[in-house]
Amino acid sequence: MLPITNFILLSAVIFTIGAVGVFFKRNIITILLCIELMLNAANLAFVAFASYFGDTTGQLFVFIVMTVAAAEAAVGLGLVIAIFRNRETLNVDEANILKL
Amino acid sequence: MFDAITNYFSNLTPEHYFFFLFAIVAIASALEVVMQRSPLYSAVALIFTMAALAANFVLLKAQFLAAIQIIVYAGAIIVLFVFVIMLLNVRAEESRLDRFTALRWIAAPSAIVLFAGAFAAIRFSNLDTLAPSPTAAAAGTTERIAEVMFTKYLLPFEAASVLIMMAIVGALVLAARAKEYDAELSGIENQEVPPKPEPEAQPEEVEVS
Amino acid sequence: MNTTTLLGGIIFAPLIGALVLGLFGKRMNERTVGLIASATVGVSFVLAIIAFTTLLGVAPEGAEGIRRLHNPLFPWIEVGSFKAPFDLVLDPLSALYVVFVTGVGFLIHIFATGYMHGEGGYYRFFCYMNLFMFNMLVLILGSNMLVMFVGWEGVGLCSYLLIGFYFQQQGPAFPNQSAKKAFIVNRIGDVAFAIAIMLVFMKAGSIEFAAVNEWARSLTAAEPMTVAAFGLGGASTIALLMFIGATGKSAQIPLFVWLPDAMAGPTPVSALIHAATMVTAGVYMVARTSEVFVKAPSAMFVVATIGALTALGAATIGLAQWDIKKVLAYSTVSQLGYMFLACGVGAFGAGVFHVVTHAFFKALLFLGSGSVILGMHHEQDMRKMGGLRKFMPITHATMAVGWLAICGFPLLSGFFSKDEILYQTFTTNAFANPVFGKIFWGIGALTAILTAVYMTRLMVLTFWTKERWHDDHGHDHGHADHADDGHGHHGLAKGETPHESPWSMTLPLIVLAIAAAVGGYVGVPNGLGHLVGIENSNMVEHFLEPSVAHVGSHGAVAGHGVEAAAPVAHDATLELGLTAFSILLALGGIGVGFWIFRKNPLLKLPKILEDKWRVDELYEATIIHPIRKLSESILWKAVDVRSIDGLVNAVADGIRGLGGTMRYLQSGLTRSYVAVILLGAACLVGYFLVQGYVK
Repeated sequence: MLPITNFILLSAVIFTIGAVGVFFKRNIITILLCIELMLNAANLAFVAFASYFGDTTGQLFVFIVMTVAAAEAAVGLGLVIAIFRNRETLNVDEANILKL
Repeated sequence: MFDAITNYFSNLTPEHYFFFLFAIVAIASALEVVMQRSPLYSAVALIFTMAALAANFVLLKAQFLAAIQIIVYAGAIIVLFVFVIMLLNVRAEESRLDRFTALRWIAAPSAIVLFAGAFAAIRFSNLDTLAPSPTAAAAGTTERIAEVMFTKYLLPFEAASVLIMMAIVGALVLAARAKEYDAELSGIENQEVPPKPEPEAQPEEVEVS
Repeated sequence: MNTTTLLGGIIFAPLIGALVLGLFGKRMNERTVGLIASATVGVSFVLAIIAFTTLLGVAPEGAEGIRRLHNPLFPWIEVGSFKAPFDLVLDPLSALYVVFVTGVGFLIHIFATGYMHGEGGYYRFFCYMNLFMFNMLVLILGSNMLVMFVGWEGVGLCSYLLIGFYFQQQGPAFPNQSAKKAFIVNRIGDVAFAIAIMLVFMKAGSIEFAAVNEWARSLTAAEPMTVAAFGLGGASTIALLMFIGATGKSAQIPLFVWLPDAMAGPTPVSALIHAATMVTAGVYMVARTSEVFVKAPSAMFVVATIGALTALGAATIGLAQWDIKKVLAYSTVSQLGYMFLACGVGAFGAGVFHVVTHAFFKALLFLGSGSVILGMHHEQDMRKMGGLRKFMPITHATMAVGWLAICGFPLLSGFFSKDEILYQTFTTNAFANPVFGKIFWGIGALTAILTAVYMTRLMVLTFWTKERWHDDHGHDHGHADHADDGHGHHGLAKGETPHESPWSMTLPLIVLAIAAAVGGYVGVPNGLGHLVGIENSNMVEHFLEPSVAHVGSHGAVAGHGVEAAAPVAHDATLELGLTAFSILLALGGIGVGFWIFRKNPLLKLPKILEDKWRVDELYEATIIHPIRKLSESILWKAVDVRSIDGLVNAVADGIRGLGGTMRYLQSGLTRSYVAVILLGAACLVGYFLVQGYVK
């Protein structure tokens, strides 16, 4: 069977791509998508360890992460709609009313 | 050198081929998520990432999670994204990225550092020697997951359901009250603030945006 | 142990009615609502009769020989040794109560279908009425004190809801105020009752009535009759606390002030809740736990004193009221005082017998007054009535029966029960000194005269003197007193005449009149029974005998372990003599009433009586005002505003100050936040790397 490092490295790559996306993108929706990407990368690591240790707990964590992701998507998209209605934009740089 | 490569390839099992196939798909589509300007294309690319990762889950004998990954992520969450994208009718992202160029000089190195760190951690650890567990297949069955979820981790499970509940309410509030806030904001701009009965009990204006 | 499922049916039929009416009543027409409400109570009544006859057939159990029917419903609270199952039990005492409560309730429901015709919230009214029936039946049938407490609080709630039925009216003396008053005054008693329950559990180890009475019987001797006995935490303390609970629910001194105000509710409510059933719950509770009371002579003395004083005080107030319902309200308070007097001298059976007869004639009188009020277009001031005999013949005839019954006119129901109470009071030896019994008897006799006088006054003013409904005399009595029944318009317009009520109202009146007339024959006192050659003629008390304690006067059964309660030989001559005296009292009172009020119906009585001895003003000055001042100056302005709000504001100010400083860290640019997070993550990974490397 494959060594576990393959999966962990794949996870690290996808996580980094997601992180860079969160940083560089300006469209809020895309940022949310990139966050999903990062969560998925973490999920992959969880599943890999769960599988190699033969322990179901890791898989359960993935389950919880998915729940959180769903909740985050719902609230995040609600925020997106609220922001869009108020400011007619999805650019995070324009949602800067909170600054001094 | 050449021998090593041929050796390497001759030792490959079908699992390796599948892993590399899906890893490439996953990385490529993940890059596509970031590089597309239209969020709609990003969302579609994300579906491919999800699917490739689901295939990886199957390789790791987590069949149940693979199914859930497709159903929940690709089937529900991404669809939700697509709905919102279409609802808002977002134009393609502008290409200008010049406003905060300075940030790029922080972000790119930190991303590289991040990956390098993770890579180093993986390399320096002796994860390679970790033998696959013989009980891996049993650990990923629906039955086993259900058993663990409803006995040992019942409380986190219930907490997660409460979280979902709160998210539903929160999303409703955020999406539904947007109009009221609009009215409130325009009202405040247009007319004078009515005299408050008690000066010390002024309500703080709370804005979500 | 005999079990049955009948009792569950008795309580749940009205509950189902209440639920159906509460959920779907709004879309039903009046006919359907009235039908459902009356039918569910009717079902309860039929089931109650069946249960009653079943009870007569079961074998007595235990050393006391009490017939019991059990209906376990579900285990409710079980904590350690504390068990409070939601069980129902039917014994002679609760059987009697269930039958008259459902019977009178059924008739009043029918009456109300006519009385409430065309009112807004018709379905709401009947929903509450059915809910009340449910709670009252839970109170009666509960096998332990906690279940009784549930019913106890439930009837209080329904009472509150129904007094405030016309809640739309605004003003200082209007229904929602009266409702609040009733609720709050009842709370005072309820707290005492709740403490009593805890104390009972501590002492007896159980709150099942059977076990509590068993525990009380097992006490070797009664506690001494001193004030200090209340501090012992034994039977006296328990009995006193329970009696305080009873004074709240049954409107005794000092907590009687809510009942007259409760007349702001619709008249059927006054009849059902504030005359016939709920207010007698206190008497029921005392009778239920009578074994505890007989072990606490000092508490018994308090009960008798309060009962006697309430009977006399309320009667004097009733003498001077102008509002027809207020007269009846004070009459109810007075009669409740009689019942407690009976309990206090140890004649629990006589007290319960008076509860039953009182339920008949007082419900009759209230319903009759409701009929009058409706006929007069919501006029309650007796000064504006008069001469109604011609216009409302059925109401007049039935109310006349009720009037004679409450006055103690020979051979009507009130005569037997009142006579029994007076006799038992006279001959009691519940107290060490027999003089007390004579004094209480004197107060009771005086009250009997007053009762006859003020009831005669009511009848004279309402039915017999000349018609006054178009007279225009000054409203010197204050507006609020006779606008209580909740309608913008009241009184007859020029040229209108009063009218007789529809059959749905007169039929219950007739049935109740028959009951008020002959209801007493189930409890003909022994002396009279012997006179006409019947042995053991006092069926009610014989029926109740096993389930209530006896002390003192009753010759047939010895008291249970009370030292002072040696059996007294049944003195037929004395009893007959007292009976003759009672007849004299009743006839004398009626005669005096006629003599005074026939000529001068609008006779003004001392202002202090019309002002109800100014008890409300006294409470306002001594209790309510100081509490309000205390709350305002200390609790509100010092504790709440200064301390609590000050603390909260200080915390809020501190955090606001901190935030004001901290916000300079926030650039407001989303991307810079992300950069920081990323940097932090990189640092964390680096840290772990170094850690691993060092190892």
